[in-house]
Amino acid sequence: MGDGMGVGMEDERDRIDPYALWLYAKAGMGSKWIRRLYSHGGLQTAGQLFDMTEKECEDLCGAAYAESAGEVGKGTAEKAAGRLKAAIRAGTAQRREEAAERLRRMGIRFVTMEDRLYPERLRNIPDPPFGLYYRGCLPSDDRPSVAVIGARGATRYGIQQARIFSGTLAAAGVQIVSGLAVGVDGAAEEEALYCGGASFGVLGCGVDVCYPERNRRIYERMCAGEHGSGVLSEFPPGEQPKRNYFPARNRLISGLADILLVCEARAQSGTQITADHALDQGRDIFAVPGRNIDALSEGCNRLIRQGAGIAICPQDLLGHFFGSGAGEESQPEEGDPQKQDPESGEAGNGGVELRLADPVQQALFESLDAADLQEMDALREKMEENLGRGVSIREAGAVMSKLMLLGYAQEPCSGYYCRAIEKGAGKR
Amino acid sequence: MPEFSRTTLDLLRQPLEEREIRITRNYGTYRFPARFLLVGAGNPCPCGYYPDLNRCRCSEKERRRYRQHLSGPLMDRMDMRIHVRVTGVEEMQAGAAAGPSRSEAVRKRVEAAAERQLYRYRGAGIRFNAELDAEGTERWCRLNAEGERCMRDLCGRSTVSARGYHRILRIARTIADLDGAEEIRTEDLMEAFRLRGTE
Repeated sequence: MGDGMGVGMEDERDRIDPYALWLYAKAGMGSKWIRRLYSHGGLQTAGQLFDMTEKECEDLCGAAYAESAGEVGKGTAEKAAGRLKAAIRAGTAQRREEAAERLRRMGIRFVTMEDRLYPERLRNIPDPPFGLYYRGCLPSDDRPSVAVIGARGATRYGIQQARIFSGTLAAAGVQIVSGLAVGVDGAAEEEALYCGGASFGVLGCGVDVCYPERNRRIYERMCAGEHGSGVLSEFPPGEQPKRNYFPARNRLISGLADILLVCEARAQSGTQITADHALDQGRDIFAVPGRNIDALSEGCNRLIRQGAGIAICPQDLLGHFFGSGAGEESQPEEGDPQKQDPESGEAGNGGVELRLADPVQQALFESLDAADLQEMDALREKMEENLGRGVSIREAGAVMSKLMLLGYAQEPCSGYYCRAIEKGAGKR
Repeated sequence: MPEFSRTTLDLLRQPLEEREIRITRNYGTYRFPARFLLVGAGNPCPCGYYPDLNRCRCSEKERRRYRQHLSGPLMDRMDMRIHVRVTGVEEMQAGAAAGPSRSEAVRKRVEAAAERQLYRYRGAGIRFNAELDAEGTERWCRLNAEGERCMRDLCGRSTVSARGYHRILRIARTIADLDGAEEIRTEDLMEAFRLRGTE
C-alpha cells in the first residue's frame, strides 16, 4: 500500500486492535451505544470490556441504556447486554486475531476513536462512527479539506465546475473528500488525483466493494494511496450498498471536511441531505451558482439564498484557508479580451480568453460557450454577426473542424458544440 | 433506428459493407446483390430530449442501453452521422412560402457530379464513388501532401478505423465532385470528417 507518508507512521497504521475490531464488527451495537458504554464504564480500550465479568457487563449495559430511559425500553437493554456478552464469549484470542488477519490480507486498515490516528474532525460531529475501515490513507488533520459534492446526473457545467474547483484546490494542497459517486463526486476525485492532490472517497458500502463500478479506475488509484489518497467506510468489508446507507455516509463526507462545496444539485436531492449534515456539524457551505432556469442549479442557488457562501472561482475557497493573499482575481471587463494576457488570463471559470490569428476562427470561438451546447446553425448565425458578413453552413463546418483539431472546441454530443475544457484545468 | 433490436440491426453489417447478402447452406452459397442507400434516423435517448438536461430525465444507464442498439461496427459503416436540428415554426412557414427554387440548383450540381463519376469509372464496372472498394479508394481518391497531413491530424485526434478512413476519402471525393474540383482539397476532407460525425 505505497503512499507518501513517513516511514515511522507505517507500523502504526497497519496495527489493528483486535478487541476494538471484534466489538465493532460482532457486538451488534451501533457507534452511539459503544460510545455510551465507554463513557459509562470509563473505558480506555475495548480490551477492558473483555476483562469484565458477566455481571459487570450487564450492569454497564444497564447503566448505559438507562441514560436513554425515554428512548429505549428495558428489554432492549437486556437484549443488548445479551448480545454483548455473547460476542465477548465468542471473541476468543484466536478468533480475534483471525478477524484482524483477514482485514490485513484484504489490504484493509482499521482505526477507532481510541486511536491517535482517528480523524480529529470526526470526533466533533454529533454521531461519529466508532470505527472506520479504510484503504490507503486517512485524511490529515493538519491540512485543509473540502468536500466536493453534487448531482449524479450532473450537466457538463456541474462536471466542469467540479473539475475546476477540485483541481485548483488540490494543486494548492487542499484535501478533497467526496463519495466516489457518478457525476460530480467522481469528476472531483479524478481531477484531484490528476492535479497531484490527495483525494478521499467515503463509501456507502464495504471498502472492498467498488460502487459504482463505473469509477473503478479512480477507486483503485485511491485504494493504492496515490498522492496520499484513501477510501473509507464505517461499514464492514463485503457489505453491499443499500439505499439507507447513503444518508449516513453523507454525514461522514461533510464531517471529514472544513468546507462543503456543492457544485450542482436539484431542489430535492441527496446533496441537500449532506448540506443539512454540514449545518449540524458547523461546517461552512459554499455553492456554485447557476442559471435560474436550470433545474440542476436550483439546489445550489437556494443554498446561497439561505446563506451559503457563493463559489464563483476557487479563490473564493482558497481565501478562506490561506487568507486574502491567496490571489484576489479581479473579474475582467466583459467583451474586452484584449486586457487578458493571452497565455494565462482567466475570465471567471469560463476558460482562457483567446485571441486567434484567423478572424473567422476567432468569430466562431467567440460564439462558442464553455458549458452551453449549441447547434451548428446557431453558431453560424453568431459568426455572421461577429464577422459582419454571410457565412455558409459549409464554411462554418470547416472552421469548426479546424477549431476541434486545434483543441479549442469539442463535440461532446452529436451535433452540439462547445469550448474544449482540457483536463488539468485546475493546474492553470 | 434504435427502436429495432440490436441483433436485427447487426444483420445490416454485411450488405452495408459488401453490397451483397450471402446465405450459405449445405449445398452451396447464394449471393444476393444488395446495392442500396440507407437513410436511418434515431433519437439521442429514449425520451428524445437529450442533451437538454432540463427536460431529459433518462438515466445515464437508459441512455447507454438505448444507444447500444446501434453497435460500434454498424455505426462504423455509416458514412455520415449528422445531427438534424428541430425546425422552428417560422422556418416551416417561410419554407412553404419560398417554393421549390433551391432544389433545382442542387439537382443540377448532383447531376453534374454524377456525370463526372460515370466518366471517371467508365469501363471499371462501377458507377459511383460509393461503390469503390478499399483498393479502388486508394487509387481514385489520392491525396496530395497537404491532404495527407490533414488526414493524419484529423484521424490522430480520434480513433478512426481503416474502414472509416476510406469512407471519409470517398465522401471527400464526392464533395470535391459536387464542387467541380479535380483534386480532393483539405476543405473537402474537413467537411467529410465533420459529416462523418462522432459516434
